[in-house]
Amino acid sequence: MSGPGTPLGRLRLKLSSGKFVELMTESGETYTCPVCGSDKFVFDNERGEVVCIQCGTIVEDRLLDLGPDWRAFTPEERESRARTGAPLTRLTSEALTTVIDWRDKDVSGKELDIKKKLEAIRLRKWQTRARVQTSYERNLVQASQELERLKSLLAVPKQCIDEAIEIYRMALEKELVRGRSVEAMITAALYMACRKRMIPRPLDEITKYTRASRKEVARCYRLLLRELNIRIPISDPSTYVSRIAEQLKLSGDVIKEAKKIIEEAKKRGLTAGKDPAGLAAAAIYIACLLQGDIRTQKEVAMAAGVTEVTVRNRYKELAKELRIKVPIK
Amino acid sequence: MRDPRDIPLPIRRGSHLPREFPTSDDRWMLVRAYIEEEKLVRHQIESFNDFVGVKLQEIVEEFKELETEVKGLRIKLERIDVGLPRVKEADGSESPVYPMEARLRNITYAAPLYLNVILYVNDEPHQERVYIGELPIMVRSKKCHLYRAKPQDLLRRFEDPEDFGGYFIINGSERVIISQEDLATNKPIYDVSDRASVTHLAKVISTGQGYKTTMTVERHKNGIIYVYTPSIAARIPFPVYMRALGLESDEDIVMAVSDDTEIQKELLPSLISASQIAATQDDALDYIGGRVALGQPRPVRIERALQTLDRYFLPHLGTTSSNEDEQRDIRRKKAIMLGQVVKGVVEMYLGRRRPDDKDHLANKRVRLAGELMAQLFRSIFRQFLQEMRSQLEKYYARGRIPSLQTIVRPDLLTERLRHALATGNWVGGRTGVSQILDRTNYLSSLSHLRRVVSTLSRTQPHFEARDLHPTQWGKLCAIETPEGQNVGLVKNLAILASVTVGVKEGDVEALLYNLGVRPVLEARKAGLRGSEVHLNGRLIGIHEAPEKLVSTIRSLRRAGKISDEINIAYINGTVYVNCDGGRIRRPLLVVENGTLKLRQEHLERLRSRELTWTDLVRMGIVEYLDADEEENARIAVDPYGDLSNYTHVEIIPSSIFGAVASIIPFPEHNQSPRNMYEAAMAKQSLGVPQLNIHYKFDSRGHMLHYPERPLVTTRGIDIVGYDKKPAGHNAVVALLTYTGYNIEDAVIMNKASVERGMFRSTFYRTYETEEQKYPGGEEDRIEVPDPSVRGYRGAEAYSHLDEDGIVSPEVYVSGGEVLIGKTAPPRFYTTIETAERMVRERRDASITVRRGEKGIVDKVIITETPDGNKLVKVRLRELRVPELGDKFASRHGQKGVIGMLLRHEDMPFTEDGVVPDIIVNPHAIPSRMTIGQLLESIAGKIAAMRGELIDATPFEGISEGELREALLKLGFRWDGREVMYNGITGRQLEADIFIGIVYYQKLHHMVADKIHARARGPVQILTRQPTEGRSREGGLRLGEMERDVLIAHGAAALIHERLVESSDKYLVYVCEECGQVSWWDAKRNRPYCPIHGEEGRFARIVVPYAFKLLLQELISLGIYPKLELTEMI
Repeated sequence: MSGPGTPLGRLRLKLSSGKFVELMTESGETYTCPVCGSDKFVFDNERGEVVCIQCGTIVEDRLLDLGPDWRAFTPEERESRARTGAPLTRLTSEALTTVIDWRDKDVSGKELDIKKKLEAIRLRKWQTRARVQTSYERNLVQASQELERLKSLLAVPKQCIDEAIEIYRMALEKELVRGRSVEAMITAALYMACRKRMIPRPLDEITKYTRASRKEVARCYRLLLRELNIRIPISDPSTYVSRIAEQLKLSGDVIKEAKKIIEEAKKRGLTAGKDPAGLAAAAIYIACLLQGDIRTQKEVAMAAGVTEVTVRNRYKELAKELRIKVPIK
Repeated sequence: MRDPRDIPLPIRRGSHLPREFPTSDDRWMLVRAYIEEEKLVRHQIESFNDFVGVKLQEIVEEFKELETEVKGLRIKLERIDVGLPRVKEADGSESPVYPMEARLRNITYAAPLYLNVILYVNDEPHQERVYIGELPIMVRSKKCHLYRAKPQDLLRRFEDPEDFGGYFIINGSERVIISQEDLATNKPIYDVSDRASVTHLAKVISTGQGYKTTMTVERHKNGIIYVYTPSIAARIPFPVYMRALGLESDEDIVMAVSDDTEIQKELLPSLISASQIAATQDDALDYIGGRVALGQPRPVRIERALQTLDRYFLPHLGTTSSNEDEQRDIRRKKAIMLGQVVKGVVEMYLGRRRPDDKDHLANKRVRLAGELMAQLFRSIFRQFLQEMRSQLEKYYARGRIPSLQTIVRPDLLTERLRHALATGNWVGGRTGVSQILDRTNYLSSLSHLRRVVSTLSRTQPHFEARDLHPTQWGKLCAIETPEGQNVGLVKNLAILASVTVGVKEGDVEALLYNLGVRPVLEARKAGLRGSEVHLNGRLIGIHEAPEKLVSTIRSLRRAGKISDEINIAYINGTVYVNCDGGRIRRPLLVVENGTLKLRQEHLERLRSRELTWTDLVRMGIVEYLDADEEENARIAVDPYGDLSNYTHVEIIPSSIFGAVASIIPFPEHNQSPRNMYEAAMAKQSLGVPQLNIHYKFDSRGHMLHYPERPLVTTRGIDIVGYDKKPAGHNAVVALLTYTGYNIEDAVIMNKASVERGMFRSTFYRTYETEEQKYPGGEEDRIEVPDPSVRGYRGAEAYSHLDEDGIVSPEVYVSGGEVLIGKTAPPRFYTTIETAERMVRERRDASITVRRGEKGIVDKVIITETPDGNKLVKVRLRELRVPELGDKFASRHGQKGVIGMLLRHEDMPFTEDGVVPDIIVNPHAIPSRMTIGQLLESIAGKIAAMRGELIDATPFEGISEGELREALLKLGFRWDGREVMYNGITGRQLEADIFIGIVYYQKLHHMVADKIHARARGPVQILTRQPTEGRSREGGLRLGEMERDVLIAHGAAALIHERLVESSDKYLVYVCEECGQVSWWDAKRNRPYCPIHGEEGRFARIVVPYAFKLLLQELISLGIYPKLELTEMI
C-alpha cells in the first residue's frame, strides 16, 4: 500500500547515480534494506520497483508512472493529445492570453444576432488592446509579423527566426530601436541571426525582400553588433559553396574539390579579411577547371553575387599560394 | 537482364471451357491490355493530373480579379504554373528532389507554384510572376520527376519499378488520399417523406465554385409545393421563386414544369398561394428579400434577393455575371431546373414515378484525389488572396506600391496544404481523408490506393447503404469490405473499374442541341411531343425521337468522334446524358446486330502490339458504361451462343472482384463470408512489400524471407502482379487431429520445415531523431552523453555508441539500450544573456530501443533536414522464426495460430514418406464450408507432382472432375486421401488422411509483439490503479462483466483482492465528527481534520484510492460527501 504523496511512496531520493540510488526516509535517515542492510538500490522505472542491489529484495513497488497517460504513434497524434509542454512561440510565453475568435458563431455554430455581433466586435477590440499593453510589446508584435513575412520569402530555418526575435528583443530593451525603422532593425537582426547560425544569407539577398534600404540595414547591423556585444563567428566560405554550385548546376565532385581548396586556404591563413563569397567563387572556379566542368569567371561571379575582378584576384591568389596547377584550356 | 520472375511456367487450365472464339485466353488478354494501359492506380494519378493541368487553373479563374477598397487598385489573376518537385535547403540553395530523398530526409515532395498576376495601380498595369507556395505532388503523376520514367531510371532513383505511385510524400511519410463516395450533386434525388405534413420531396445538392447548398422541394399535404434553401431560411411556394427568377406569368411557370394537364392541375394550390404572396417579379423578389434583409427598404430587399438567388440558389448553374444577357440566362436555367424538380415531385404524388434509390450507383459519385485537392486548394487559395488583398491595402495606404512578391505569404499556403495532407483533416471538417500508405505487402498497398470510402456516418445503421447493390456489379468488389462498423461503407474498386474525370458540360450541351434537342420552354410552347433530355441531372430540352438520339450518340461514341466518357441512357421515357466526373464505369464488349464487334484479328493485332486498348475503345469494340447506361444494356455473361438478345458481353465474369479478392482460388466454392475474411487477411500477410525495402526507412515493416508464388493460381493473380510479389508459402497440409495441439483452430507446424526457413521473416523498425537548435544559441547534441547529464542511463546503456554518438551497424541491441545518444538543453526558454550565466545542466534525450524489443542494427543514415538540422535514422532488424502462437491463414479465411512446433520425427508420414508442414484440424472444415480449400489442396498436390501451375480462377478454373482424374493418373486415390502413419508410435492411422498442398500466409500478428504479463508494476498518477497496456507494463483489467461473475458467485474476498488489494488500496484517516477525509501532518506524524484539526476523532480505514479521489472531486464541486462510519461486522 503506498502512502500519501510522492512517486516513491514513503521514501525520498537521496542520491542518484547511473547505476544505483540511495534513499532516505521521511525523517531524513538513510534508508537501508530491511533484509541485508545495504543502502544501495536499483530504481526500475519501467517495472515500477525499487530493488536492493545486494539481495534483490523489492523494498518498494507500485511506483507511479510519471509518463503521459496517452499513447501516440505519430507526431500528429502526439500533437493532438499532449496537454503540456514548453511554450511554442516566444511571443506568448511571457503570459498566457486569451484570444476571442473572429467567427461570429455561438457554440452550436449558429450565427450570432446583430446585437451580440456588435458586442463581440467591441470585446474583441478591447481584448486585443488589453493584451498588448506596452509600446514595447506592440513593437515586438509588429516586428515579428515582419519577420514572419521575411521567413516565408527567404526560407530561413525556424531556429534563425527564433534567434532573430531574441536579438530584436534585446535591442528593444536597450532602446536601440527608438528612432529607427522597425523593418530595418528586424532585418538586421535576422541577418545577424543567420550569421550566428552559420546559415549564410548575403545581406543583398535579405534586403531584396524588405522595404528598408541596404544601407539602413547595414547601419542597424553594425549598431547591434556594437551595442549588444554578440559574438558572430567569422563567416565560412565553404558554406557558400553549395549555394553557388547549385545555381551553376555543378556536380558533387566539384563541390568536394572546392571545399578541399577552401580548407587548404584556411589552413594557410589566406581567408582572413576576404569576402567569403568571393573566396568560395574562386574556389569553385578552380574546382571547375580541375574537374573539367568549366564555367566562365563571369558565370561564377554572377552566381556568387560578386564582381568578376574579385573572382579573378582570389583565384590568382589561391592558385599561386596553394600551388595548384590549373589546366590551361 | 531478364527478371527470373518473368519466366513463364506451364499452367494447367480447365479443359471444360469452350474453345470457340473468344476463348478465356482471349478475354483475359483484353484484361491484360486494359491493365497495362490503365494501370492499377490510374484513377489516382489521372485525377491528380487533371487537378494540376485543368482544375488548378479553373480555380484561379474563378477568382479572376481582386478588387480592393481603393479605386483603381486591383489585381488580375492570370496563369498559374506548377514547377517540378524541389527542396529548399537551409543554406538557401534549391535542388530537384526525388521521392526517395524526400522519404529519407523527411521532406515533403512538393513543387513550387507561381501565379502570374497583373497589378493595376491607378489602372496602370504591372505584370508580375509571384511565388505563392508549395504544392505536394503525387508520386508518378505528371509533375513528378518519375513521370514516365523507364525501369532502369527508376532503379537508379532507388524506386521499385513495380511500385505504382499514386500517393504523396509528406514530411517523409507516404500518404494516400482515400477516394470519397458521396451522393451525386447537381441532380435531384426524389424521395417520399417521413414527416406527416409532407408527402413527397426532392433534394438537389448543388455545388458550384466552392459553394455547396441544398435545395429542398416539398409537396405538403395541402397540395402546395414549397421550396426551401438554407440561405433563404423559409418555406416559400415554388411559383414565388419562379417569378423572382423571371418567369412572371402563371402560364410560363406552368410550362416550365410540364405541358401535361394532369400535372398542371396539381400545381393549382401552389399558384393560388403564390398569387396571394406576390404577383409580379418585383413583388416576389421583395418577398424573398424580406427573408434575407430584415427591416430594409424595398429597393434594398429586391437587390439582396437577386444577389442571394444568384449566388446561393442552385449555384452550379452559374452565379453572377457582368453580362446582363448571360445573367438572365442563368436565372432562366435555375427556374427551369426548379420546374423540373417540381414536376418530379408531382409525378411521384401521381404515382408515375418511384422514389429514387439512393444506393443506386447512378446516384453516387466518387471524389478522387484530384477533386479533393481542388476542394482544399480552393478554400486555402481564397484565404491566401484575402490576406494578399488586405496587405496590399495596408501598404497602399502607407503610400507605397510594393512588389506583390514582398507582400504575399507563400508559407501560409504551403503550410495549410501540408497540414491538411499530413493530418487528413480536410475542409468541411472531414477527417481521415489522407492516410499513411499501408506497406504490409504489395496487395495491401494496392488495395489501399483503390479504396473507396462512403462519407455516410459510421455510427448510424444505414443498413441499405451497406448492402451490396446490384449496380455495384463489376464496379466495386463484391467481397472486399471490412467486418464490423465499417461493413459496406468501405469498399474497393473492382479490377476493371475506372472513374471518369469529366468532360466539359458546355460542349456536350451544344452537341445535344445540334442533334435536335429543343430547349424546354420553346418545345413545350410549340406543343412538341417527345422525351425530356437530362444532361448531368439537369433538364436541358426535349427531343422528338429519343431512341434515335440515343443511338446517334452511341454510334458517335463508338466511332471515336466524341469522348468515351459521355454516357447516355433512355430510361422510362427520359434520356439521361452524363459527362461529369466521379462516375464509376466498367468496360464491356460491344454486341451489334447479335454479334460481337470483337474479331479474332483484333486480338492478333493486340498481341502484336499493333493495337492498344485505347484503340479498341476508339473503334467501339469495347465501351465503358456507367450505372445509368447499364440500365439500358442487356449484358451476356459469356459470348457464346445466340447473342441477338444482348447488347454487350462481359469481358470476363471474374471482373466483379477487386484486386485482393482476385487472389482467392476457387472462391465460388466457398461460403461467401470466408472470402471476405480472406480479403481482409491477405492485407495482413507478410511478403516483400517493395523491392527497394533495403533503402527504405519505414517506421516499421516486415519482410518474408523466401516468398513463393502460389502453385494454385488465378488469372487475377497474374493481372494484379501478386505472382511477382507473393506473400506466403506452398505448404504440405494434412487435415487430421494429432496430439491434440491443433484443437480450436490451432495448427501444428513441422519444426524441421521451420528450421529450413519456412515462414521466416524479418521485422524492421526505424528509430530517428533530429538535432534541433533553440534560440539563444542552445542546441541538441548527438554525442555520447556525459555521466553528469540529467537522466543519465548508466554507462552500460551507452556502450554500443561510437564516438559520434550513434550505434554502428550489425551490433546486437535490446530494450533500453541507447541507439542514438543525444543531450538537450534545459527545457525552457533562455535568452542570450541568461544562457551565459546559467548552469549548463543538459538532460539526456537519447533514443533507446523500445522496451521488450531487440534486434541488430541494420542500417544507419545521417543526413540533414531542410531546416539544416542533423537527422539520424537507425533501422533495426530482428529475425522472426515462426514460434508458438504466431498466426497463419490459408487463402480461404481459415486462420489459426501455431499450437505446437512438432519435431519432424514425430510428424505423421505417408507411404511415400511425405511429411506435412502443417497439420490443420479437420473440424475447421464442415461448419465453415470452405470447399475451395479442399480443391486447392488437391490442385496443389497435382501441381507439385506435375511441375505445373494449376488455374483456379473463379468460374473457369479447373473442375473437380478433372482434379480427381488427375489424381488417379498420378497414382493417388481419387479423394485426395492417403494412408498415413503416426510418427510417434509408427502405427498406421486409423483413418486415411486428406493431404495436399495449400498456400499459407504468415500474418503480422506475432507473439513476439504481444507477449505480456504482470504481477506487480507501475501505477497511474491520478487513480493509482495499475497502468494499462503492454508498453507501460500494465495490468490486465478485471472488467465489469468479470466483476459481475464474482458477485454472482459470492466471492467477496476475491473481489476485494482484485479491486482493492491488488489495485489501488489506500489508507485514509476519516474524522468521525464530520465524516471528512483528513490529511496527514507529516511533521507531527498524525492526521489532521480539515474541520476539527487535531481535535478530530480519527478512524483508519482502507478504501480504493479512486474512492478518495471521488470524494475530493465532489468537494471541488461544492458537494459535502460525509462518511458515516460503523463497526465492521
